[in-house]
Amino acid sequence: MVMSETTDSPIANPVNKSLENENIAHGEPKMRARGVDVYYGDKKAIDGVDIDVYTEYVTAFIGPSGCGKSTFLRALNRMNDTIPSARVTGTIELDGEDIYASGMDVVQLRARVGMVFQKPNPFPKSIYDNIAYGPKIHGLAESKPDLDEIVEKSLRRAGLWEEVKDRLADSGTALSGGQQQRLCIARAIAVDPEVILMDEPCSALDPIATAKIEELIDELRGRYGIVIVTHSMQQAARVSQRTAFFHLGHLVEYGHTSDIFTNPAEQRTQDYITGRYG
Amino acid sequence: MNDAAENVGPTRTAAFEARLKKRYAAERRFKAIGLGAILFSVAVLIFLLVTMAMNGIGGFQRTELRVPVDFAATPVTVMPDTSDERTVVQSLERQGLRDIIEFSATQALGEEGAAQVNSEAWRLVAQQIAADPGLARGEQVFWLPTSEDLATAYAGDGSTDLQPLAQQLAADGLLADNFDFGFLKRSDATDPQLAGIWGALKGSILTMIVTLSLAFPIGVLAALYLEEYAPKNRWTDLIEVSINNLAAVPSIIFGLLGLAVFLWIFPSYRSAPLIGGMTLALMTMPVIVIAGRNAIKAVPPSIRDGALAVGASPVQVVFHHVLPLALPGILTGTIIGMARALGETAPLLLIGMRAFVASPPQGFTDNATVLPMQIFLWSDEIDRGFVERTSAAIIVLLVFLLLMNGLAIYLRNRFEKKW
Amino acid sequence: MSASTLILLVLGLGLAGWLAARSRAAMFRRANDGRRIASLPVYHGWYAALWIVIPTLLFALLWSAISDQLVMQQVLASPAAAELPSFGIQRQTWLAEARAVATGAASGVFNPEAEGLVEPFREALTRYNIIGLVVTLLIALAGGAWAFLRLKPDFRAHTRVERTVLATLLIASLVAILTTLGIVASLVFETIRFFGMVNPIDFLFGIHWSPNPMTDGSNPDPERYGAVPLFWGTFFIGVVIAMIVAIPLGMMSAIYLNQYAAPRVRTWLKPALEILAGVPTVVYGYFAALTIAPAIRDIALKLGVENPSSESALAAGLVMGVMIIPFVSSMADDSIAAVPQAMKDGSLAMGATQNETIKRVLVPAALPGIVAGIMLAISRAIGETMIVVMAASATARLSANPLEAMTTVTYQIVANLTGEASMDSASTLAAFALGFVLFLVTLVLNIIALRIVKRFREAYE
Ligand SMILES: Nc1ncnc2c1ncn2[C@@H]1O[C@H](COP(=O)(O)OP(=O)(O)OP(=O)(O)O)[C@@H](O)[C@H]1O
Ligand SMILES: [Mg+2]
Repeated sequence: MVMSETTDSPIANPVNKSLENENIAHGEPKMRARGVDVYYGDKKAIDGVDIDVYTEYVTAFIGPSGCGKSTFLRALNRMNDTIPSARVTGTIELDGEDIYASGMDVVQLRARVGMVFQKPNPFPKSIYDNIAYGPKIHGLAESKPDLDEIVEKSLRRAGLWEEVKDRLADSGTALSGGQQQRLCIARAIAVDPEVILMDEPCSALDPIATAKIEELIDELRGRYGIVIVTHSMQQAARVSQRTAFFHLGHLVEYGHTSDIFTNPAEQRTQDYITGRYG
Repeated sequence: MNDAAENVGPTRTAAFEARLKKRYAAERRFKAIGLGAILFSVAVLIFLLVTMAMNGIGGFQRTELRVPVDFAATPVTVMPDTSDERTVVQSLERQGLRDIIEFSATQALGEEGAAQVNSEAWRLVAQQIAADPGLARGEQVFWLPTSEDLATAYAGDGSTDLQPLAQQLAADGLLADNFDFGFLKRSDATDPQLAGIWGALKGSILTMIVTLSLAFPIGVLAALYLEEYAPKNRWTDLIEVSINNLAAVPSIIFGLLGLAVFLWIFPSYRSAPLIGGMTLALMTMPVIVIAGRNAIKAVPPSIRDGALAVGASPVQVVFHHVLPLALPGILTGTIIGMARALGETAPLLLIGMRAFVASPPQGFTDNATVLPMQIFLWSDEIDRGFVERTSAAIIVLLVFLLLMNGLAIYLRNRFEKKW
Repeated sequence: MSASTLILLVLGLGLAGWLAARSRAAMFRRANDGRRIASLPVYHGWYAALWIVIPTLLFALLWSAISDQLVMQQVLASPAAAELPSFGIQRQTWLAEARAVATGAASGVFNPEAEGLVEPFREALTRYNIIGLVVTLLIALAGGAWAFLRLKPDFRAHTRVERTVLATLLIASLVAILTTLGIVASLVFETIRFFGMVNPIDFLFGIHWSPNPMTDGSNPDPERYGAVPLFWGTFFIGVVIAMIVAIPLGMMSAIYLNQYAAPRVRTWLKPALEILAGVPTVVYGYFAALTIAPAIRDIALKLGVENPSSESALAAGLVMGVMIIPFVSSMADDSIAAVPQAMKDGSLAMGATQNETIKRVLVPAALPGIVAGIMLAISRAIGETMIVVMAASATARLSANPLEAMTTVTYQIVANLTGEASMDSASTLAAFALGFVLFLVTLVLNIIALRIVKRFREAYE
């Protein structure tokens, strides 16, 4: 891995000035990205992005389609490793450890940084087995009662327990779209990750299901660091405390959600959130 | 979950990491097993090919004796205007060529050696003379096939009493294994020294011509119908199920069909390429249909819409635009189907294409056999000579199949969806 | 008059009709001062050509099917035929020889008795050839004339042509149904005859198999037609032994190719598997008989097994398994590749390793496709003929010892149809009954498998 910047360099980007004060207020961020570039073959999809993710806040990534939100998100738990042409440079740290360092274990990393995808992708297994999947492979439960407990707790946290407790043996794919997405969130929670990345988790859902997920995200805040990619300004405004605006692979602006939406520093941000392009 | 887990997360405990090591070991094991599985298949393939090649090399050779013949002392005449090989051979037989050869052999090899010259050797000399009358003048050296017994003894097994003779003759430079180009030009024979595969090869070619000319048009037309015109109804479903099922029905069933139906209609064409080709065509047709449908499906609808928009009729759209684009895919499927038909034996066994055919078939209705059948028939012979000839025939068959499959792979790579 | 010259003649006539009709239509156009006529001239050409070619071809097909019988009838009616033995192989040979001489395929008869039949054959052949030729020409003329009379400037030739084309396409696709019907009809017909001699219960549940080709149909020995040992041998070789080899190796090969192999390795290994699939079964059979079977026997001897068979079920089964590997592997490969990437991503994003993802997510998700593939592989294994004909044995035996000789359904079909028995003997008919059982079993396997595959594809589309 090529490091373009040393780990502890101060944030150079002027628009991120306000964050430095946050650092003082909240100690170290959970994840810290500095000078991250992502390439697909020769094509640069992400160019020099610096971002901090805190457990206390939900961070939203917004930006027009194709600007690299998903690409960057996938860099945060090395899901880009599964794409042969993808290459990441710069540093991304989790609790101060470089996740692209050779000592970092991908399996462990992904257990610590979970991910929820745009389209709900429950495994073709029972609801129970979907949730139990992570704990089982990671050996987090010593006994069946242990596992039962994890499953119930995860489903409860995901707000799905009441709806499915009588049919845990049914296939996960038999649930409605919104339930499936909450199932996927429950599945991610089940291994007790430190950060959860969500890539447009509501784009395949109706407003009621969306509202439920948003509620859920709010409840999970503080326990897990949450990053959510969304195309909906309203959603970003509703669920996040920090917002990052991407454009053509660049991080244009990153700051308090309220600032970004009411008083953006950049003209491009202003144009995007008022719907002038995107 | 306990409190400690709340603090550091369950995924950062020592237990997790210990387990992780095991999981990685399992990962390596699993990957190695996968690689092993595929290498096993490749190894079997190589072993099979090497076995056949080692045996087959002997099959392309023939043990021959060196016999000088002095036509000056015992003249034979060849009519200069007789072009027909058969007449020449008959005339030479009347002129006592057989005795001339026997005499020369005794001179060159002694009584014992001469007894081991193949009894049909004079005929080969006669054929050579027919091809080149100039040979029948002066002293000529011929390499003549030995008897199968001597060939076996020369190879080091078989009857021990001939082995000293073989060693002696070989030491004198009178006995050797020579490359036998005639193997590709002769037909079946009871003596492995005289057997060749041209008859079977020609039978295969004739059979394949029949198969191709029936299966290709029917297959392509059926594929076009099903993809482009067929209404969604029960009949179409039935056709589809039939085709998919026929593609998976054991080939021997087609043999039973050929036996019960084709041979009942054409009782006098038993073991003719016509019947064999028809039987194999029924087997190949579904393969072509399925490949054809996939190729047609891959032609994007925009091309059809474009053509329809300029006023082409549905039939014109299909024949002028869709079919040419789908053709490479159809051809690939056809070649693969034909390769399968070329290697097929079981159905032909049932319709009687297992006749002993000593001269190549001249037409579609002559008695014939095919290459894989020749392999099967020879494999039943116990002579060492036939074991080698069988492997040699297998090599010839495999070369044809490799060429066909190679062509199919080339076509597929070359024309794979370019739109 | 051979079939190929007849076909050439028909095509030539068609071409003539095509040219004539096209130029006539072009004339209409000129007469119309170049205004459009209802259809392009070339459609008029096709219209005439079709009217010539289709009826004549149909007739030619029919004629080639019946002329043979007609010739035979005339020959048998001739006085020379009275000398023929009334049935049996000799009668067939003499007739075939005389026919070969009469058509010029052979220069002389081998059996002098056939000599007298040559002349009647020649006469009959000439007679029916002339009749065939004349009728063909008449039909071609009539068809051409009919088409020609209908050509007019406002004649919509192209709709007619297109309708014919569509009908041809439909007929071509009906060939598949006809083939299936042909198979079913011939198998059912002969099987019913067989069941007239041997009780189906005895056949399906009897455990003693030793058909006697020499007994005639009127007096079969039903005790000899118990097919259970054949079913067992087929199952043991084709399902048990072959699948023990093919399923794990095929599955693991597919998984390696699909999930682990670098693209460059894949481009080399995949064709290798395809070559393995392309090796003709007769070659596998030879390989089994020549190399594997003796090796197994030697190993068994070394291990102290007494009298191991040189035609052991194990040899045939192992080689059959190897033959099936590429088949299982390609079906499994397709099924695993059809599982959406999202499923795999979901698992990897949870921190699963590659093999955990494969074993717990991909394979279960692809399971219907894999199961269908295995069913098709079984269907292929139990229908496989050459390997067992060359490497298995004729002895029907109920045994679970893979080192013993066993026989299979396909082996017995071949054995009973290529022997000396006449077409109506019980042993011949038994082969058809076995064929019918084989057809039914593979049909069920295929249909279920194809259903599963279809549903599986729809699920992930
Ligand atoms: N696997 C890939 N290979 C090559 N290029 C890719 C790949 N995935 C994405 N890209 C390219 O990288 C750029 C960023 O894509 P990305 O999916 O990150 O955008 P996004 O912001 O998530 O868009 P959307 O809002 O539509 O999801 C795009 O130009 C895209 O074409
Ligand atoms: Mg995206």
